[in-house]
Amino acid sequence: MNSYVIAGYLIAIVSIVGYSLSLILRRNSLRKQLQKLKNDSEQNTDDK
Amino acid sequence: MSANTGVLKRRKQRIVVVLSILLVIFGILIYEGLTNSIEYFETASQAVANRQTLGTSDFRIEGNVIGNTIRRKNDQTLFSISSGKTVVPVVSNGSPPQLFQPGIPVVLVGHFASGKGPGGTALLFLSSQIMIKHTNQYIAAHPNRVKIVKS
Amino acid sequence: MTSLLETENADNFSDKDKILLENILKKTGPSRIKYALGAGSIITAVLTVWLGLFVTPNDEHLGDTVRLLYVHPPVAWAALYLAFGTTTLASLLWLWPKTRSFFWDKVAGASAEIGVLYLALTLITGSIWGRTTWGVWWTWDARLTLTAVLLVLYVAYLAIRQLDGTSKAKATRNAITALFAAIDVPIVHFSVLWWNTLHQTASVLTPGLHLTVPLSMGLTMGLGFLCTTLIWGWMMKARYDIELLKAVTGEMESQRAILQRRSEL
Repeated sequence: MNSYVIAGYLIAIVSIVGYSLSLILRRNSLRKQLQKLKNDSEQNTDDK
Repeated sequence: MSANTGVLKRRKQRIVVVLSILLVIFGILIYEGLTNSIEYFETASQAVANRQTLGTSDFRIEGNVIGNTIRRKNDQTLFSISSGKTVVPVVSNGSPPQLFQPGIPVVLVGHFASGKGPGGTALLFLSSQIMIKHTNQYIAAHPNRVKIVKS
Repeated sequence: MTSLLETENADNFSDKDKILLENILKKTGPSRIKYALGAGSIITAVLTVWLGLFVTPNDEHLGDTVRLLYVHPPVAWAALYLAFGTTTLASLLWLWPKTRSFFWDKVAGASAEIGVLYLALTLITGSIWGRTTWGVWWTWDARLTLTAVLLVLYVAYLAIRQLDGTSKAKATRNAITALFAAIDVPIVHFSVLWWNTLHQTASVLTPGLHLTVPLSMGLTMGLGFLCTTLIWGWMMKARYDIELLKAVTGEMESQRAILQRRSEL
């Protein structure tokens, strides 16, 4: 197979997968942060 | 709060820097686009018609490589291109790209030769670069291959 | 998000906010549509690569470099028409008072970011294809130059989105910028018809919509189009979730800071 073709496919696949993974990681960390905020506020209410 | 406004100010500065860089790139692109002429090439017949004004200045010429005209001579490739009824003989320096073959449309960078033949000015295009102009037509080379996989 | 601000006088988050929080956590969590889009993207991608690299025939002139046909046009299509089209439409929906909602601003931004990724891939795969077919990595023809201009315009749009201001002023500024950037999309599309270019004319979106490729190639290309569309859909959901979460966490944290300062006084 032509190496130019392989390079084209690889660049497309790697960047799309890379961007998708970065989206998943960013979403997960934000969700964790929000979960923590929610838990903290519940803790505070319980304390009172 | 002051720390916060500091952060905001620095962020704004960063965005302004990014936008200025983009503006410079934008300017370069537009400049290159316009100076390289928005019409990428002249067809061989257009070029021959405009031969007086073109003189020996560089431009891009387009046409189909005529079948049995391709010849190699030392480092040079000799062939003719046609568009409509116009035929332009070409001398090209260096080796042509892989897809170069009889019948294929090409775009050549170069200029008309100024040399005068016995019968007035000989029509000759001196090319420094050959580019293959692929059309939007695709043709399957080995249709059998699909059948084999399917069966 | 107004309910979060209403709690300013309370010691803590109100019950209303807790419900909102739970809603947002649920919305941004796993869902059937996300799995469907994700699975669809992976299946169509695997099929496109398999058909594109191993099953479809070579082209008579191009040999096996024709296999870039299943990557380059699908990413270009998804960038120009799907992603930037969505950004334009969403920006118009923000600007039109009857449909004005921050939802559209977030959609416009999310779609533009994905469009920039796809457009960069369009230029890269196009450059590779140009090298093998034309014999040059880059040339200043109208199609290529205007596509590079398009990338610069949408990167600038993403940068302008980062500038601050009140949320309403920001969204309006974003929408107007998006409409400016969108002017170049039809110019890129018609460039190959309006001027002489080295780039070929369209194979699918031809003026008469006649396919200029053999059926097996056309179908694989179609699968490629479906694939980049599904991936765009999946990315849109993920990117929108992030915007939603950022907006809420940002507001909650500033609210906490206010509460904290008040308790310190």
